[in-house]
Amino acid sequence: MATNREQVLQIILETLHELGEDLELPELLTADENTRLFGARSALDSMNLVNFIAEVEERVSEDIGVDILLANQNAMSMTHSPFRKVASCTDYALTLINKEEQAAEA
Amino acid sequence: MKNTWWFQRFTDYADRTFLVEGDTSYNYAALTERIEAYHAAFTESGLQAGDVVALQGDYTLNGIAALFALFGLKAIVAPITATSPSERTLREEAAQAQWLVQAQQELSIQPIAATSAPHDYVVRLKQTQHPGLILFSSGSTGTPKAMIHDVENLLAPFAHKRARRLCILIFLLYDHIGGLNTLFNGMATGAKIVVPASRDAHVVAQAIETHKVKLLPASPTFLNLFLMSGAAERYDLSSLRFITYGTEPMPESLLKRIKQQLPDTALIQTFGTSETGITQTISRSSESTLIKFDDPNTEYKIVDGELWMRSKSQILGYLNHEMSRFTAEGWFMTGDLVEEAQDGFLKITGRREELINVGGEKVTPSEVESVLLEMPEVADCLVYGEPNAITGHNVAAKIVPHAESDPRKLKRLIKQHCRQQLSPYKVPVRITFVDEAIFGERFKKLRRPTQTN
Repeated sequence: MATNREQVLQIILETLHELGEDLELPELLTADENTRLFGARSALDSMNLVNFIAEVEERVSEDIGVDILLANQNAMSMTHSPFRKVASCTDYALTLINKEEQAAEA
Repeated sequence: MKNTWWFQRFTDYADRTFLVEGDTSYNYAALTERIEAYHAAFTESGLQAGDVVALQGDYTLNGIAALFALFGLKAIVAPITATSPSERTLREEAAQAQWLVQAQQELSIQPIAATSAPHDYVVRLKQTQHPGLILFSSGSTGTPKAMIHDVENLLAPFAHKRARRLCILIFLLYDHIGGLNTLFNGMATGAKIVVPASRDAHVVAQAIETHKVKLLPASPTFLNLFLMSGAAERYDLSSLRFITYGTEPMPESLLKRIKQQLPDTALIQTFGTSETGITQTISRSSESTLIKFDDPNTEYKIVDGELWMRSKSQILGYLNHEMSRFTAEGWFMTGDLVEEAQDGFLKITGRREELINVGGEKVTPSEVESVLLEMPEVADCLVYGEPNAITGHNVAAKIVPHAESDPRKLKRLIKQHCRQQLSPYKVPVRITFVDEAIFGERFKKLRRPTQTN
């Protein structure tokens, strides 16, 4: 069965909450779909974004059993970065996961 | 041969114990006797000065006697310890060996058909009637770089050493500059050399206790294993006066733990490269990884953070590689990165090719490894760079945990610890847990070089 959006969102929010605790960034503790991840007035600096992405990739691999590469050249060159907000990041991750799942089924 | 300084020296030491090989020990008289017998056997086989000999051996009476008998014949020796036939063949070919000598047990001498004319360096050594030594670069895959030393130059610094009563344990390999340096130093001073039956920490510790070993040359990786094994608590190591360490950076946290475990042992850092030989150094103290070069035969300078050296005992050149790491003035670019401290002391921080470039900021694996090793949960670790779409590269770590634990919790704990000690870009982004060894047979960390894209 294909992974649904809710599962991915939960992984992302859990990761952000944990990072919020570890990095003492209170805005991450209350993160939701509208939280800005990266860019102007965002919660994460570039090193924290790198850590966030690696953590999400690992959790997706462990919990869903699919290996994705969130930070790839394609994502970096998109006009609207998928890492601007939690919502766009969730959509982007879900697309990659579903693509892998379809490839595995085919 | 009998008029060489080293043969005379071994003759003077006749009654002293030379080698303890497992349960058997030999004195220096047994050594000179064996060298003479082998010298005669080589001559009888038609082996001549200037011939290139692939020598399969080890730190045994036979292996050491064969090495010196070949030096006495002014042959050019390529010691080989590789066990796989393909690796051995690669080395024999790189050296352009004309003879294969096996000296593990019974001596065996076989000619090998020459495939090409001898290299210029070989011709030059033959003309000057100097013995030679061919060493191979370790670590990299593919054809090893074969470098050639003039043995007269390599042995010269030992000729002035005075006799001492030292007992040295050797477990470094027979084809390695550090191991050979320890051997030459020991033999020049009439030391008793102990070769343990294996390189297992408990076997080494037992050998130290039994033979009252005073000097242990080792790598930081081995010393970490040694502490982890608990051998230091189980055996009486009070005879151990000196531990010398080198070949890779020593993590500060590990040095501290060794000092706690062995408070009466002096911890001394050594430095050398296969290309320039071993350089005499002074460690600031047993608790310090700062060293100062103190060697009349070696000059050094620091260029763009990298250590450059020029020594009287450096190689003539490579047999199968260009001299790209040597300047026209004869400086060898070691690839080792150093930081200058006060009073001429230096700190070796890592290898240039292992440096991790995180968005323009440079990270040396050793400083991250030192912080990781502070944690009681971490038994061993290996830090390297991996490609990253955002920062070019990021720091990654392989960790051998001390005990079974929840990987997710442990990962978080490790990152928290690192964040307290290191700048954010130095904190490992990716952590993987492994239980297999992350070092090679030389007890040196096998770091995956950072990829450049």
